[in-house]
Amino acid sequence: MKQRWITFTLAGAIALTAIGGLAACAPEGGGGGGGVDANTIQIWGPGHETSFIESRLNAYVQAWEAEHPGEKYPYKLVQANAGEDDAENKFNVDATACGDVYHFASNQLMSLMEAGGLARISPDMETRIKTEDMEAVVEACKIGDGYYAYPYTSDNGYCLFYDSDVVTITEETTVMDVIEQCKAAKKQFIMPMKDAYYAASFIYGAGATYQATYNNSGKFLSSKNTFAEKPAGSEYSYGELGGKMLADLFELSNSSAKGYTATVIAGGNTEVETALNTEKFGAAVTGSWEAASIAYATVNGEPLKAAACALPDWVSTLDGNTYHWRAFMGYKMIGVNPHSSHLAEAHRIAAFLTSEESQLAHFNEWYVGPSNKKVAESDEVLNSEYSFSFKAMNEQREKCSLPQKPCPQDYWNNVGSFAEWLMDYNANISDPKTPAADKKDLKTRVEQLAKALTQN
Amino acid sequence: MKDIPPIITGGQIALIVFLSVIALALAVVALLLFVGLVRRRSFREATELEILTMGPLQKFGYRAKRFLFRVPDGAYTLVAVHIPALAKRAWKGICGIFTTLKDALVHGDWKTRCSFAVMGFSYFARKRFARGLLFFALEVFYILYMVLFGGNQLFRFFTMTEGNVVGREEFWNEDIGNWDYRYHDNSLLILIYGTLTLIFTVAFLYGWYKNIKAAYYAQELEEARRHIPTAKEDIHNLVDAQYHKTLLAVPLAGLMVFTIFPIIFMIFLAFTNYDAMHTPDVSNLFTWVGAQNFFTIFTGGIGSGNTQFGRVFGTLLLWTVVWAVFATFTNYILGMLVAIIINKKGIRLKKLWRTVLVMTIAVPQFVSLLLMSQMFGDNGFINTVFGTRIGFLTDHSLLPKVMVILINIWVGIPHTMLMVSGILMNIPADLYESAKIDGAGPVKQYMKITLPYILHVTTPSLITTFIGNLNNFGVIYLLTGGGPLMQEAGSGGAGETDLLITWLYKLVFSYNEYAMASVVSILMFILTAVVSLIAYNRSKAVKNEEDFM
Repeated sequence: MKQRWITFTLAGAIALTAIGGLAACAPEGGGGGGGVDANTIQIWGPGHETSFIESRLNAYVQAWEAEHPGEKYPYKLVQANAGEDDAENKFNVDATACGDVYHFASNQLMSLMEAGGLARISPDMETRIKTEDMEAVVEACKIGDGYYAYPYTSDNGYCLFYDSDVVTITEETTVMDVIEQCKAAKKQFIMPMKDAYYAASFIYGAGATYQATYNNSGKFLSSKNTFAEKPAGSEYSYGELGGKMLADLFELSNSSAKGYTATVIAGGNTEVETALNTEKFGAAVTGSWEAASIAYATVNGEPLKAAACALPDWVSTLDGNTYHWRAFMGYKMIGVNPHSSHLAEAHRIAAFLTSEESQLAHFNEWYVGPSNKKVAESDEVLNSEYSFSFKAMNEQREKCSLPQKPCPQDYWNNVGSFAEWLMDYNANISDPKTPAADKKDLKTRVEQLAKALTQN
Repeated sequence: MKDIPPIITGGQIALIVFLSVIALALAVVALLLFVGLVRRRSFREATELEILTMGPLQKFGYRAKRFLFRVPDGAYTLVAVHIPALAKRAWKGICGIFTTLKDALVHGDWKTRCSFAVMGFSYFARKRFARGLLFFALEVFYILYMVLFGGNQLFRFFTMTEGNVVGREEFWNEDIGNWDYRYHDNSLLILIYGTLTLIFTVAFLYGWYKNIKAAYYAQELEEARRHIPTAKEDIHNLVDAQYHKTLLAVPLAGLMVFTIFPIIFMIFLAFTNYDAMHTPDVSNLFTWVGAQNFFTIFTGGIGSGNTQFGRVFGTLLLWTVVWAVFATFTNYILGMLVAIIINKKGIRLKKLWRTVLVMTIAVPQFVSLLLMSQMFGDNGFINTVFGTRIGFLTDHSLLPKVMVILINIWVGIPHTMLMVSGILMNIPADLYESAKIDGAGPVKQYMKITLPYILHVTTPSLITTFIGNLNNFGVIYLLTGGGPLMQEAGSGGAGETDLLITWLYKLVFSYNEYAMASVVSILMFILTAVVSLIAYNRSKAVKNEEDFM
């Protein structure tokens, strides 16, 4: 009998522990307006900018305490790493568990709105951003009649970064010229060819368009595109022209026979960093986030002669015509979570992080183009030796860019699959051993892509 | 979009296909029954002596024939014996409930009959207040719950977003000087509370049935002039004769809260349109869509984002099974071989070899896998050193699939080796000695002594490993991330080396396709449950439990 009571007590103890464990599972931090510490405000930002954001938050607290002598700042500001590209996924899973203030890329505006992740900014702030920030960026923050995000950067896109000792750019330079120059110098040309963000750039360069429409609450309504349509007088569609160019690049990146081994690299940030570290960097299609790394790199103990320009033109191997190379051009913004328990304070923090002072500090630390007009036009920015990235992005925007509108997830999936399909396209069609039935048909595949990207 | 058939047509086609599949399945069952009945009579089992006198070819022929005849035999037993027996038991159970209720109503006295309306009345009337109070409290609690909260929840659970449903409301809040938000309806909460209310209702009905059964039992005891247990006796009973129930109460409650409830909730989710475009609480709230998601998967229909879920599911299911078979058996066979080689007499430095292999276990598996992933990457160590451009993990050929199986062998063999080594050391040496005296060679010894011994002990672990491999998230996620992406349009971001489980992860965390993810997880559950139940019940470890003991 005694043993039974011991067992019974043990069972009870286990149950109590389980309940205790459950209590401990409550989310920590102020995200979603709940948590252990009611005064916590969570700020989500990209991992590589952790120390920068922390310094800005410290500056904010100091400014507050200077304004309120004798008082201590009442909130606990907690920082967490969450990439700007990942915000929509996190909010779609559970908006109540997300940060109070967070960084995100402009293409996610609508899906974040749909997920209930964007709080509308006040009329005062509306006036501020309209006066101080670039019109295009401010317009990108607008949904219906309201503004739902704070403009932060103006150059979230890509252009050509290069070592001017290796590559010389003129108006006539094409992408193949750049690659040849890299090959001659035994350096690398790097581009994230499989990444859907970059993969369709040749198709848009050939003249194709894609449009997704949303209603004012962020709900995706429809999408249409002209990928399978032909430019006037051409026998090839935009998708075929752009797709073939990408396939040509893939062929060079796969090829070891033509002496291109390790010249053309299908890769992203990691490959750019590796190339910089191993002194193999020739040129790369990348964004302002790599500007600092490229600017600080060295070759043979000397600083690398970092330069950047708009993406060069390309010559189609299908029709022999020259086309521009169009880049996505978006922005970075800071949003406030409507589920925050401290909505007003979260807005104040977001406003501070995107203020003129913070944007200048951001440029000085990361060389990222500001959206604030005063900062962008300041001598400090324009005369900075690191403004090459910012200037190249402006050049790209003026020459040939595609304002990055929100796209539904299936856009990225389908373009990604198309890029994967193109990887061995050239090898497949040129191999005499491939049976006719197994030959890849670019025209049909482009039509399939166009159909998959169309929704009513 | 006009080329893509609207979903309603897909649903109708799906229904026809679904009914055809059922008809086909019934036809197959009938055929199996017929073949089973006929063949059972036409095949005669050979005796031990007859088998011994057969030549090797003859023996092989006999075994192949017996195998073929036993397949419909097994199916016959399943269809004609096991399933009807199960159905009969279930039917009997259901009938039993109604028989009890009928008996209580027809033969019960007024005290028992009153218990139909007022729970615990019979016990109050028979002066057993504690038990009566418990039943009555249950009734009061349920009625109060339903009136104050549950009834509304249950109504909304069934109607979901019909009527005037408002998600989120934006308003100007003067107090904070900012736009603020009020939240009203929330599909997810409606689903959760509705599910809870349903569970409470089932539990209440069970309590009500137990109340009537207990009332009638008390009446029978009274009529037989036997003693009706008092509260004190009841409690004593709970720590004595019914002690198992007391002990199981806590784990059962845990199981209900942490396992059964989420599973029921997940099953309901599969019948909604919860995805990135239908949120729980903002606007365009998600609602019921019937079995549309299942039709989409089974008929190759097109889901949200023009994704061809049926094609992707079929492709990934095939690869998942192929992967599980290869990952399990390559590790098992090769691990066993390594163990046997190391265990062999005459092999030197046994401890060293074992230690070397065990060292790979000491390195956390995810570290090994991430290292391998880096090494075999497009711009990884191997390609850089050899100056090659081989897409070990990214090529659109069989290569990435072969690579993940090979790398899995690398990380998996030491585990099997360790397990089998232990078993090998436990096989009595005299078995081998007597076999040798009888003239058995090494192969014969292996086939007749070592293998049966190892198989008997390791079959349950083999099944667990197989099931584990069906759901082996870590290896695939860390090595290839499911990549490379499928090349076909409408693949919804699925990769060529994705297992169903890694696709499920992507569906939830990258593409927010919650409803489809629920469908996939239900199908995966059915797959793993069926495989594990059949394999485990047919294993020798279960059938001949006494052997080798």
